Amino acid sequence: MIDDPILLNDWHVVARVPDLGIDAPHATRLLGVDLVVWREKEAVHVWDDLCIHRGAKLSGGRIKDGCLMCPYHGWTYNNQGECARIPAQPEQKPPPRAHTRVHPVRVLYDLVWTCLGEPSGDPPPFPEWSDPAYRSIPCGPYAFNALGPRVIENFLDVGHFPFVHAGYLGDPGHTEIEEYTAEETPTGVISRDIPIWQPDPDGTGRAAKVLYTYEALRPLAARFTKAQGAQRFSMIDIVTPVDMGRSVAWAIMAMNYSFDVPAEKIRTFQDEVTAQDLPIVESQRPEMLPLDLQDELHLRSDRTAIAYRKWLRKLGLKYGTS
Amino acid sequence: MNTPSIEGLVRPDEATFAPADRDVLAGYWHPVAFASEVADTPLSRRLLDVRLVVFRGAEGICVARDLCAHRGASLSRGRMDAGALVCAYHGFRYSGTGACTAIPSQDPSVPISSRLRLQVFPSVVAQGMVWTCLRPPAAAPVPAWPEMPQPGWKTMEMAASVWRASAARQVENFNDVAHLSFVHGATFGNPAEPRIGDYTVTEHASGLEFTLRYPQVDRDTLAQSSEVISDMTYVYRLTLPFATVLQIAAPDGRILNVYDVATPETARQSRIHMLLSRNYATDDPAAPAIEFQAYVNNEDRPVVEDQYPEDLPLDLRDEVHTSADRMSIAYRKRLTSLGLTGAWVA
Repeated sequence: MIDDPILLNDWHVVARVPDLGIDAPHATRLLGVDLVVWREKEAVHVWDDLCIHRGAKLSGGRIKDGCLMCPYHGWTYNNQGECARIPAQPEQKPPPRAHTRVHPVRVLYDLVWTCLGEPSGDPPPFPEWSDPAYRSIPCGPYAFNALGPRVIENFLDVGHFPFVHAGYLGDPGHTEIEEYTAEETPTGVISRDIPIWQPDPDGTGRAAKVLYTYEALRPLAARFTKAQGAQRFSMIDIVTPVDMGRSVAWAIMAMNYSFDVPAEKIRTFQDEVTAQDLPIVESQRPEMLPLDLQDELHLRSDRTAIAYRKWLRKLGLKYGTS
Repeated sequence: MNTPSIEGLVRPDEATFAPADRDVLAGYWHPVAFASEVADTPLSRRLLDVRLVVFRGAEGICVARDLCAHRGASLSRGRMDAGALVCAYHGFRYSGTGACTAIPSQDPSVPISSRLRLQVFPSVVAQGMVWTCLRPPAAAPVPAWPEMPQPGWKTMEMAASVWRASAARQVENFNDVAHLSFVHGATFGNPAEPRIGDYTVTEHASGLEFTLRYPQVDRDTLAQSSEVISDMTYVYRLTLPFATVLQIAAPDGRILNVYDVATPETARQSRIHMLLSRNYATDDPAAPAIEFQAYVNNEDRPVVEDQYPEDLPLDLRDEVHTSADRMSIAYRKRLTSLGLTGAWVA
């Protein structure tokens, strides 16, 4: 297990509810811990992926009658994570030690959230999800061979649009970033109304200047809202720290316009944008985000990144930082 | 034991065993190949982290450290020529006794230093397998099973397979009975009969033995019907540390013996040598039975490869046991009594 108290006590996404099967459990990994995620009617369970009997992975087993059955000897765990039945000895009461480690679960935005420690607070807010003025479109998950802080900092970065996302989010003819400010909030970092020139900000084919507001909501969760007149496009990006080399980014887009554009088209656009970011982020060295600001060069346009690094340092985040 | 440690034979970046545990296991015979595999090319093998070359010289089969004493090349990259192993780098020739017999780059009249020889380990062929011991004299003989092939029986060699699992985890799985109804429900296991009756484990100096009746689906090829259930008698005979023969006796006198020997290539990887031998259908082809057993092995393999921790926990408090686990408990205790610590990986 990766020992980082900040992340151990935070909520992380381990699955998307619609992806959970009726009879097959789902295997995943969080902070170096193998987990099994499974659905019992409306309830979702997240446990250590380990049968204490012979160390087999429960995720290879089956969901049956509201219980999870180990693939190896059929030890059957009830929804409390306790072994309720040992088929080789049906009369024998399973020993009290025969249980797995059960983790708290929240289901929010169709995502399964869990916490390996003591959760403080709630998963990050994304009010657009339940706002009838918006249509929400999930996208991802995107797997990165990179650590969470680098992934989030890329999400918060505006200066790379004309280079990494030319023709998509940026215009190589408009590379300069205007003045903006970044400030710390009680729960993170915010940079308001950064003007960005975009080749086609709303899908109508007309270039325009839009205003981006970025927020770091958690060490590994961030959002932005892009404003163009009354049109709003928001996106939340939640990064799961898988282990010391890998991350998975879950994202949800929400927009109060273009309801007629198929969700698949919007999702494909975002898939392409992420595919442009991926090789850059995976190539960044050091892999750990340097929190000492002397270690890399910063520009005025990096104010959000600077504030994010300062905030992580203040929180004492160890994972993915140096 | 005052035999020296074999730690010096292991490349430092390839060490996976704790040195003390490796030395204990190095005191036993382990198979490194089927004799039938040792033919006209040298084989590269690993045993207890040590790289070995296995070849058939004019004098017989030779198991040696995979290292040419001249410039440290891997001899398994070489070739066989007229009963000699020829190093791929400078063509030094070695006989089946390990002696260097020719150095092509120098005048043949110049005598060859006696220091220039392979580090040879003792080897024997038993059950059709080439066994070696890296730290002789061996603490125990090779398993005392009826020599293969038995007259009138049909004996079949499985292709060796490499599992990403410790040898002890594989052996414990082979000797485990409570998983049959779950993992093997698509082959011979009987999902309707998961209950395991009482059984007694008999302790021998060489290992462990127990007998169990199991109402299995009576088939040993994938083409056979899966409707007939027969009350089989299973007799497991385990020779420490990693060799087992399972005798499956049907009420009508048919007997199938399944031989399973796990060779610890590293603490995390094992080479599984398996033989089948039966007293019935002796004229039938081997392929369907081999295919069936390979299918059964592949039912076990993903479960065993996923077990955590990867090392078999020798401290019995680390996992939970039931009365169906008597064999596994006895096996863990016996491994401990060999002097293994359980923390096998440094």
